[in-house]
Order: sequence, then C-alpha cells, then structure tokens
Amino acid sequence: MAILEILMIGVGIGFISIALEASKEDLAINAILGSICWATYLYTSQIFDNRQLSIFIASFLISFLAIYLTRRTGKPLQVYLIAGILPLLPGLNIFYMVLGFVNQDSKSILENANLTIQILSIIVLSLVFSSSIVRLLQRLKHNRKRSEL
Amino acid sequence: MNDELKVALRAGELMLRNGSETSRVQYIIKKMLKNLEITSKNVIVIGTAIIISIEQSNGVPITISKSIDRRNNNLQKLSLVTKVADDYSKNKINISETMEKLNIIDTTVTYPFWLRVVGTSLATFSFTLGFGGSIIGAISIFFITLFPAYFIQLLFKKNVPYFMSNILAGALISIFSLIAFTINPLLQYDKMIASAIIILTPGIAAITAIRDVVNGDFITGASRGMEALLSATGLSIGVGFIFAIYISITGGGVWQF
Repeated sequence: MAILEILMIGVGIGFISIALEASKEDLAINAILGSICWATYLYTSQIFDNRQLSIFIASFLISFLAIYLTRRTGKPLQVYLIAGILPLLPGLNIFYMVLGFVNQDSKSILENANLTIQILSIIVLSLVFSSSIVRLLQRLKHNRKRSEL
Repeated sequence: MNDELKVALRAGELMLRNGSETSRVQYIIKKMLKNLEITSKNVIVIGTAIIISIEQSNGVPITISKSIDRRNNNLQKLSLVTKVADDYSKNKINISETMEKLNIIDTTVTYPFWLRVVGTSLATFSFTLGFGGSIIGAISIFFITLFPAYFIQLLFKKNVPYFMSNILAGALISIFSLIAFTINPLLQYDKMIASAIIILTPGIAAITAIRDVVNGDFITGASRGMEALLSATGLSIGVGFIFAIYISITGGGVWQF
C-alpha cells in the first residue's frame, strides 16, 4: 500500500510540474524527487514517530538532491526544489485552521497555525542547512586546491 | 554599452517575472555583465524592480531600471534564461542573438491551457491516492478541482489580482466539495481537501520569501511573505465563507466537526 502511495505522490508531482510549467525533460525527474521525498517521510515517520523530524529529514534529503541536480544540469535550484518539497506542505493544517475560524474554535486555530508555521520553518531550516553544508564543502575543496598549488 | 545593459536587464526581468529568487536574478545579471570593461557595477533587485548601475572606464555612469508588475511560476523559462545567460557570458552567442532568444523565451507557451488545467486536476487525483484516500474520492476530487483549476488559470490570464482569484478558487472548491460530500457522505474529506488545498496554498511563495530573508534580502523577503499571507488569507476567506454559509443552513449536515 505504501508503495502505491509513494508512486501516486510521484505521479502527482509530475502533473503539478505541468501546472508549474517545468520543461518536459524535468517532469520525470520531479516525479522521482517527489516519490523519494514521500518515501523518506513515510519511512522516517515509522522510525521516529515524530512528524517534524520526518519532514526535516525528507526536505533535507531533497535539498541535497536538488543542489546536486542543479550543479549537474546548470538549471536554477527552484526547478527541482519546489516540486520535490510540495508534498510536505501543510495544506490540511491550513484547511483545519480555516475550519477553526468558521467554528470559532480558538484551540484548533492556534494548534494548526502553530503546526503550519513549524512545518514551513522546518522546511526552510533544512534548506539553509543543506546549502550551508554544500558551501562549506566547496570552500574546503577550494582551500585544499589552493594549498596544493 | 547600452545594449549589453539592456540584454542583462531583459534576462533579469524574465527571471524575476517567472518566479526566481532575487539572489539568482542578481547572479544572472552580474554574470552577463562580467565581460564588460567597467570600473564598478551595482545590481539591485527587489521583488518588483531591477536597477542596474555601472561606471564605465571613462568614469561616466549608466543606470537603467525595470519595474516588474506581475509574477508567475514558470520553471521552464527559468531554465532557458539561465542557459542563454550562460551561453552569452561564455561568448557563445552575441548580443542580438541573446536578445532574440530571450524574446522567444518570453513568448514561449510551455504547455497548452487545457493541459495545465487537466494537469492540476490529475495532480489532486494522484495526491488523494498518495495520501491514502479511496479511488472514488480521487475521482471525485478530479472533477471537483477541474472547474476551479480552469478558473484559476483563466483569472491569471485576465490579470485578476491573485487575492481575488484565491478567494474565488477557494470558494469554488468548497462548493463542489460540499456537493460531493452531501451526495456521498462516506468520502474521506480530509485526504481530498488536503490534495485540493495543496494546489492553492502559498507554500512555495512562503518558502521563497524565507529563503530571500535568509539570503539577506529583507525587503523582497518581507514583500513575498506578505504576498503569501494575502494568498492564504484569500483562500481562507473563500473556503471559510462557503463553509460558514453551509453550516448555518444545515447545522453541520454531513460534517461532524
């Protein structure tokens, strides 16, 4: 069942990439990134039983993959990053927050607003971490080359 | 010298208009200006404007600017502009060829209108199954989002402000969802709504905004953050309004809150 879910998320990312007007050769790559993202999220959720940590690990991995693909193809990071991270966005929490407003349920509003902000922050934190690590590695490589000369 | 600046500005304009981060726009423009014999160059990019200022070797400064009225997400155009800028900076193509290519990119239609609409609906179909929903739920959400997806694309084409289009799209999705749930109360509404909302949530804008802030561009980050907030507010108003009416009429109906 999990394999079907992972597969369908990938297919969904492929279709949403059409709406985002990604080029034809990137559709399959984006679909694979989406599947990897969701598989990582599901797998780490089972191990840690912590949604935030799972989202962090999944988006961290996708950021690395996106940076790698960007360097290989010379395309902007967004091309791979946006599609890859899309399944992790807290759509349902935003919906429940709105429902909280309709029902005047302050607890639900606060709970879901808090979760939405947390998830978005975690995704950004993972992006910052991964790009910082890549920059650090690049600088180390550059320094080593310079010292060899 | 003016032509070189114009071509760099045009590339920057296309990048910014198609959803690039400001740091990337700056990088592209600077890359395209690197072969010029100038003493200094300053590139200022904010969410809605690009300003390029250079000082020529004879000390005469030139400044050009461009305001960006509307932005979109077009990943293919970002890739193509990056490729053209790369070729230009490596002197593989000259100025007129570069300008010509950039103009072609600007008018390129990546996918036909109907395909983008059906693609969005098929994405919600796949996401519903991916989030563990049933096949009936997935088919329902495909039809539920078909008209709103068409509407979003159409309103964008007609230059309707995104705040308004989000209100209308949110309201449309809610109306069709409520009709479907009234007909078949056994549908897993949470999985379906999660997939439908994902196409409207300004998560991408929010992430780009925070990335801009992290890169040190607080003005653009704040304006993009505001854009994301307004989009979410528009969506909330649209969804909330319809649900409020529905609940006040039916007293909750099939929904057990």
